[in-house]
Amino acid sequence: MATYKGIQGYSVQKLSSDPGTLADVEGQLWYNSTSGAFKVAVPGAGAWASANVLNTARAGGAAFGIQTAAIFAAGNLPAARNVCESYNGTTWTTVNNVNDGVKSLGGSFGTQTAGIKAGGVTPPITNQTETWDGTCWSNSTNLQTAIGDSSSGTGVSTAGIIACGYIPGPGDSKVSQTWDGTSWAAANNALTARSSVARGGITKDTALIAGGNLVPRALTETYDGTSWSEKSDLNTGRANASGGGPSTGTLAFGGTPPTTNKTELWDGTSWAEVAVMSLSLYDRGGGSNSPATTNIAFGGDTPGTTATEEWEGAPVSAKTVTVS
Amino acid sequence: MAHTYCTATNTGKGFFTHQDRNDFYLAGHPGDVWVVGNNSAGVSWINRVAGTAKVKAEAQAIVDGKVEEDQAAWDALPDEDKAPARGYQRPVKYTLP
Repeated sequence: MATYKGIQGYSVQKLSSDPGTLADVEGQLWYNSTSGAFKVAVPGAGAWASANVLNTARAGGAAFGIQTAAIFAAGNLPAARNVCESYNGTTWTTVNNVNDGVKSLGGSFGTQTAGIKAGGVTPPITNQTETWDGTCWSNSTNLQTAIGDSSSGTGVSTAGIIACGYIPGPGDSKVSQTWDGTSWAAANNALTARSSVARGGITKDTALIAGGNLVPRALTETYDGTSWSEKSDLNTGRANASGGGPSTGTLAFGGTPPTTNKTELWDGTSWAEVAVMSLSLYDRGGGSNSPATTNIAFGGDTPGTTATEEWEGAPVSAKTVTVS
Repeated sequence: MAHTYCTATNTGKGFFTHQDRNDFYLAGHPGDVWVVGNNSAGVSWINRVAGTAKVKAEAQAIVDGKVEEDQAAWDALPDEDKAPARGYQRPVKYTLP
């Protein structure tokens, strides 16, 4: 009988039990001598599930946090531009309004207790910045360049970045601005001008932008603390996708045109399509600082919705290999 | 038939679970219309959420009616709310799968 070593030229590791941390051996094959079976560590598919809905339907607002602690402020609907809601993993609660109601944000980032919203369309497009301290919004130092409809924003309250967006006159922009906790500074421009991007990366120096209002709407760029560089494209080009997550696990979901429910996962090198949302929407809010395995999508267009969905990326599991 | 159709109100957490999404096709549409994979898990889900079964033509009519309603609402917006309209588009009709 042919052996695995004889065919492949190397042996299969023999273990008395499956490895304790399967994520560390993803893609590896071993023989479990206790169960007498060959096994391989494979990633799960992940899935979106319904969650309790927002109190006020809207899209295009300031969105940040994680699946169990998120903020969604302002937004596209005329009657909802001042509204702010906080999510605790179970319920959305209306909290103190923003001071300056806006739609189509220039950018937002942070956590449930310390966040930033910048720019947007009041109308007109504004350079206003507000900081969130977990209880109230306070006006802060204005953006250097007024910008709207970026949907970008990566970082925390003491170090963040927004990029691209729409500027009256020039139109789509590649302007990039960094926040140091007190004020904004001009940073090196992104490589390609566009608006309505998806964002990711969690920290300022690992920021990511993808897609946007340009054809083919699939370009991805990452920031290294100094400059932007182009990376692998989205599989499905789109504008107004939402997202968040670390530099090796950013999730991008939804977008338009056409309006889609597609979700893609960035592993630090390339995008892979994963399970779709239940709803096709664009301009949703997302958990900017979520880990790779959990995220949240809320609100969205068109029209404005209250729907919320929670993402669970299934952990790596051990699958038994069928052999004859 | 690959899909079945129903209307059901999204009640939030638990309305559909991660396991549901792995067990059958599910897509939501305007007017609380849901397109559901036509297998035993999908049928069980419709029963669980007290969904009202619809034939495809009925479901399509509900979606079309809601889109028309949303189009009218969008058309009634002041111009300043449509411009820049890059992130806020007039809803469009489409065909259910």
